Amino acid sequence: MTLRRVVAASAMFVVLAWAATALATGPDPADAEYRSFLGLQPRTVVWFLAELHLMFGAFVLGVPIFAVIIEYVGARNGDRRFDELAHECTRLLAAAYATTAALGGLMSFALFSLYPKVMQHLSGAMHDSFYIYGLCFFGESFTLYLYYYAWDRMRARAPARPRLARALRWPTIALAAVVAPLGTYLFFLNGDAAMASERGVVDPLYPVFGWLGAGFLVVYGVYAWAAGRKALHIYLGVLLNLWGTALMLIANSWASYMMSPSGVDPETLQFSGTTWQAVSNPLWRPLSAHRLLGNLSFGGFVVGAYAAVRFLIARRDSERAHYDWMGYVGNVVGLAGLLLLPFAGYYLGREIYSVNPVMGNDMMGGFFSWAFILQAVLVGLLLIGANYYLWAGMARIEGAQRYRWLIKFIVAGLVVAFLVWITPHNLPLAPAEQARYGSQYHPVLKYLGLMPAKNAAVNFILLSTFFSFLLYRRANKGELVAFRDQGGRARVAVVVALAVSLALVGWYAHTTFTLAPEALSLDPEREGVIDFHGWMLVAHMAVQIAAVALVFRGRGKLGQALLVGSTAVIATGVFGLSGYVVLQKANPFLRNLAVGQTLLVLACMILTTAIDLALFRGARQLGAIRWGRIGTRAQYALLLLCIASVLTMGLMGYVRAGLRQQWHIYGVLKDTSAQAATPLMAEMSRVVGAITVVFLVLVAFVFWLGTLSQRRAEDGDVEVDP
Amino acid sequence: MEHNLLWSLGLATALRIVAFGGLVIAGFIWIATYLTGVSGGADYTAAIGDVSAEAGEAVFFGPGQCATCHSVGAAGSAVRGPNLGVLAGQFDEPIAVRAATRKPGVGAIDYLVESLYEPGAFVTPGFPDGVMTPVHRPPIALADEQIRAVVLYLLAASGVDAGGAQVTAIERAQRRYRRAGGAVADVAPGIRFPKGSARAGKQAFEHFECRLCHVVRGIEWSKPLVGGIGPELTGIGAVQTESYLFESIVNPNAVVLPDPSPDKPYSENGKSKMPEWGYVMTVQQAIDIAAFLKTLTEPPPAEPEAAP
Repeated sequence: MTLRRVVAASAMFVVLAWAATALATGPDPADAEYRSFLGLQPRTVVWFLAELHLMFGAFVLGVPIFAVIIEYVGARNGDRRFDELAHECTRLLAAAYATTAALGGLMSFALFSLYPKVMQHLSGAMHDSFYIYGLCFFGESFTLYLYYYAWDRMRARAPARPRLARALRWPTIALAAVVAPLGTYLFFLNGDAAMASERGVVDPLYPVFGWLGAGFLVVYGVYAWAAGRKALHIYLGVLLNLWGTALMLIANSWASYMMSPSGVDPETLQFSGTTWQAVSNPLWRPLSAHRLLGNLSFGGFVVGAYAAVRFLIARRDSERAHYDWMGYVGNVVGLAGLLLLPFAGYYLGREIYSVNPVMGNDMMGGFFSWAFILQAVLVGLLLIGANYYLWAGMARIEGAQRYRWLIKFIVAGLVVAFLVWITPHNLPLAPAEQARYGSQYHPVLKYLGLMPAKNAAVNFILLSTFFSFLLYRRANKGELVAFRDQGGRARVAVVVALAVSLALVGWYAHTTFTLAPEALSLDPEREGVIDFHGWMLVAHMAVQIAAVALVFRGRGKLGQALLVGSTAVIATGVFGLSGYVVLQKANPFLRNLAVGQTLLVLACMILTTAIDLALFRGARQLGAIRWGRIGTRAQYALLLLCIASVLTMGLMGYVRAGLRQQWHIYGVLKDTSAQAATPLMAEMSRVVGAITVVFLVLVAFVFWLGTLSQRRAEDGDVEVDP
Repeated sequence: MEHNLLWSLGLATALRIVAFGGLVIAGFIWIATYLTGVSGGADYTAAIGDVSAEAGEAVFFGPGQCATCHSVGAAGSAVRGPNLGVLAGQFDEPIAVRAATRKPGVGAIDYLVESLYEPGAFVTPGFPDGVMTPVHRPPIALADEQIRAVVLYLLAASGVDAGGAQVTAIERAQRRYRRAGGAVADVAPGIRFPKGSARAGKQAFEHFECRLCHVVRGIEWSKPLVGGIGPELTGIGAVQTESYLFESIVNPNAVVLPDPSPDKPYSENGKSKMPEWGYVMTVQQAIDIAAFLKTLTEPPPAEPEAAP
């Protein structure tokens, strides 16, 4: 008998002995509140399965978002490589989908069998949504497999009914232009009104939205049918995203209900509302917004890691070129989601504070505050890794040498901002140190640990990363086409972006000016502190207009520099310092100030991107982008981004679920099990680390399965505009 | 041969990727473990059952979540709420000493108990109102015993004796809050009662044979006390208002105390066993009895310890 057989037989014996011992303890009573499985701790079992399901789910929901966009771009510009890339992403999707579903089923079984009392409550409140979820699941499955398997049969771009397609083109666009903002308004801005009603149909716009939405799907479907097979295929991709979003929203309502239950009788603590009330709980919307962007970023980084691995084991230059490009796209997608995530995260955190100050304090100032130090480390790794990848990628671009000198300054800025960000607010000093300083805090570090410094640091990191991306984009661009020759479309795009950014900042400036100090429990004399920030927002609006004026006068680069520089000065410098004044004199306004900062950065990104697209369109290229000519370290940066993204998701899952502390359903159903205590971060890290390993192994295996039938990439270098 | 070479190259890359991933994950675990040590993350799984200053400290820094906002001297690092110990330049005395002078006529224990059950009753100047949540309500939902332990911890941390007498006093102060699911509201707000006569109230107490159900120690009675059916009223005046006592006489079901033990219930089917005396006695007599009970401020004598 070989050694291998002895080891295998021993391992099997150990497993069987363990299972037999665990089963010998006898079954739990039928009416037990908690049960265990094979002697494993029920919370750990559910934690493991739920997190794995969530990770696969994030990938399965995130990838279709950019796959269909890439496919659309390919259909528009006729470059078959885009189509191949979208197809390859979908191949990974199809392989991961079954695993996601299996994990979801396993998690449901575990929940219903290990936590029957909790599930009894949730079933009572949410039962209607279970059936809708099941139906949406059918829709998602059928659409996904149709989308994937019909790919080759639906490549033809020739319109089937050209006249009908032409006739329906603008009605489709017009309906989309109405339905999308209306849906956004009803979902995010009309939330309180929806909750106030038993059925949620408070606003007459709800039925209007329903009819318009259905009308859009029908008109768009007919248009896609008439516009050719590729258009119809893209329509399937859009449908796939709609099914996926519906699934995500329903599942999010269960998780958010456990944090902020609604429809519960405060005296009896029994659920007495409708399913819609339970679904439309206060944290449903912010959690959904956060997860949507999180899924996009997660999907991008996982695809990037897949491309990195394929790059590292590639044997031909053509393969390396293809996977280099795929890694680049994955990184851009991941980064795009990541740059927007802090805004959604802030929205979610703010709502958590509003729902329950105890929960909010626990999160940022209590038990979980240290978890955010760890999150800062991970997000810092993500941003620095993404920046490094962009800088490394400039090596493959002829002409990028012009900008290399800037990188060291960006690195220095990023490191300083990162250090400020991870400075803990409640860094405990030893008694001797406290006696020396005469204070509970370090005389210098105490300032860096406060929210004004952190807000400034985060916004600076976001701006720096955005700046790196701008450098990358213009790396091989030479002489520009004069803006006046760019055509009407470019001018319209810049003006629309200006309108959006002005609306964002203008809306908040108006909110700031009309905010009465009394509404924040402040003395009326504090109005000056508030108004100062309103005026700074107005100043930024003036800068936006000036930047666009410069663009129209042919000084676009100067306009961009003015906009990015002014945003850095106002959002991080001025507001960073004035934050301390606010902290001292008008503390409740600090939350509003942070919103102003994030809106400034967001507006800057929107407008600068629009200007950048218009400015560099058709610019003379100084050299080619040599795809595949990138170092292996950059591929490890992509792997780092993926692993850090998985760990961040695991960490934030712990925080989100842990915020309920000793409650299954916050304030309603108490956890009386032996595992009611919140695990310490050290324990969390071991569990999340193990989940990450299992996820990465599973995802590698699933991807390998998915590539078994993949045909070999064609020879030849890939030439694609970044 | 070539195939083997490629396979070897692929294996080496795979091993490098696995090692890299392992390193990142191990780094994550190391940092989290380090931060857990730096933050002094206490183990919340510690059993917190008994009523003692030690248990109170565990509750304070654990499920009570008090340390999220309050430090106690150098213990903890929160600044959102007032420091409950001594903090140079801000709080020269510990909380038990400060609490004794916060509200005229209210002792330290009563103040501390009130602050935990009704945080808005008195808000320390310079700190925002409405931030602290009543700790006996969800989401914190501490049990009465845990709250008692927390008060004992605060007394001990202030250098004040936290022995059996204090436990009794805290328990007494807690009585008014021990009402199913809600805080105590002012009884009949806006009604001004005429001043009652404690002497006439004592006579009425005897006349209506209240002694048959309620024990009041420390007073000479013309007939022997029986008691045991209703709660003991010794020291009740120190913790309850006259209006509350009046309400208890005419509407005993307004507040029904929890049964001390299953074999000695105060209530039947959720209703107090006490009759509604408004049908029997005059309004003036009820007011007088309330005035008499209000004079009973001496706490019950400590129970002699059983001989070993």
